[in-house]
Amino acid sequence: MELDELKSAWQALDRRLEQHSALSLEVFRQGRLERAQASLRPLARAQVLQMLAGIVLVVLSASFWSAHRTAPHLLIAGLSVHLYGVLMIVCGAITLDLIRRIDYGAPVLAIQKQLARLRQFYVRTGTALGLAWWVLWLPLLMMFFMALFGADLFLNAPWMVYSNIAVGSIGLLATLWFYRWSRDPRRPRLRRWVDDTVTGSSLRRTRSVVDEIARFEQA
Amino acid sequence: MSQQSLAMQRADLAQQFHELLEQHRRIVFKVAATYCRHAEDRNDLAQEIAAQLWRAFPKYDGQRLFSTWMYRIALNVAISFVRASSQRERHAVALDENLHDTPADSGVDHESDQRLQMLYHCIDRFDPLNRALLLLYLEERSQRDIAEILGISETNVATKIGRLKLRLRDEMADA
Repeated sequence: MELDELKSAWQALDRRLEQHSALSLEVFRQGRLERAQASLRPLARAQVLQMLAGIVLVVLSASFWSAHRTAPHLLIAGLSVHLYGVLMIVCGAITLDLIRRIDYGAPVLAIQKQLARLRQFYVRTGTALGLAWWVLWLPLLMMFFMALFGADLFLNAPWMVYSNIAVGSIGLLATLWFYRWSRDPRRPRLRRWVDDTVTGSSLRRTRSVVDEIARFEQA
Repeated sequence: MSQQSLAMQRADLAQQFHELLEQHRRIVFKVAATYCRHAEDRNDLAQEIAAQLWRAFPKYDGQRLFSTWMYRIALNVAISFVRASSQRERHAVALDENLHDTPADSGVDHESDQRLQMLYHCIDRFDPLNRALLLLYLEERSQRDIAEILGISETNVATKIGRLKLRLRDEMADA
């Protein structure tokens, strides 16, 4: 089969699609267009939910730490949760802004780059926000006990707070160290496994898309 | 502006959109056929492209070629669609299904089917961006148009088409 034959096969496909498209015109009726789901809409919705959760955390933690300014451990616990809530809002807002800027009418390569950047951003921030829970659950638990039962976890069981901060910090550092160690090019299978289990396969797929775009861009 | 005149403006816009879409609808189906092998996927993609075209239509600059603008949107949506659905294994189906869900010209044309099978075989071996280039090449768009649609220089398009032809020859020789 020569190139000319390939082109004639393409024309044959064109003729078939002409018949097919005549049958499929209903797809384009306006009612269905309005209802069609935009591919980035679920991601945008998830960001709105993340921002709402962030606002709830900010409001709860702000009222908590402002009421316990005299107890440094409670102040720190409240401020940590407050900071986390702010980060959730900021990351969600940046992702929403990146989604909003996407205009599919722009050249293919520009949009594919924008989409890859968007994906890279939310996968990375999602991983960072997730990893923070190694330690974040403790200040949240301290807030919970104090707000609901008036019990100061740190004063009643300081060993529990210290030991869990230590375990959480070690867990966090160990995760980060293991992640770096798995990056070694001599361990490609481990790297792939870690990518798939720690960040889901999202980050790896995003990287391969970014590489693919870079290769295509090169003359 | 009153609600009535807004509604009229919207109706005009919709009418204008439907006319343009009707004239160029084959672009949508060709892009969908290039990126999807499963009939259900193809319909989903065609719908997604049409929806995105309608959403972007208010921003369309009437001074520019509608087909160029349409290709940009259709290809962008198709590439994203393929990447998002690459985890689903729905489109990894036998090539034959392809040939049965698009009606043949007249009766059974085995030679044409074989050629189409070969065409799909070639298309499937390209990554999404090169597939876009292949589609535009097969559509015999000018290098200038291709550069404008893809967002690369004309020189780059010329180099890529040269490489594309070589690769196609190799693929066809192997097949």
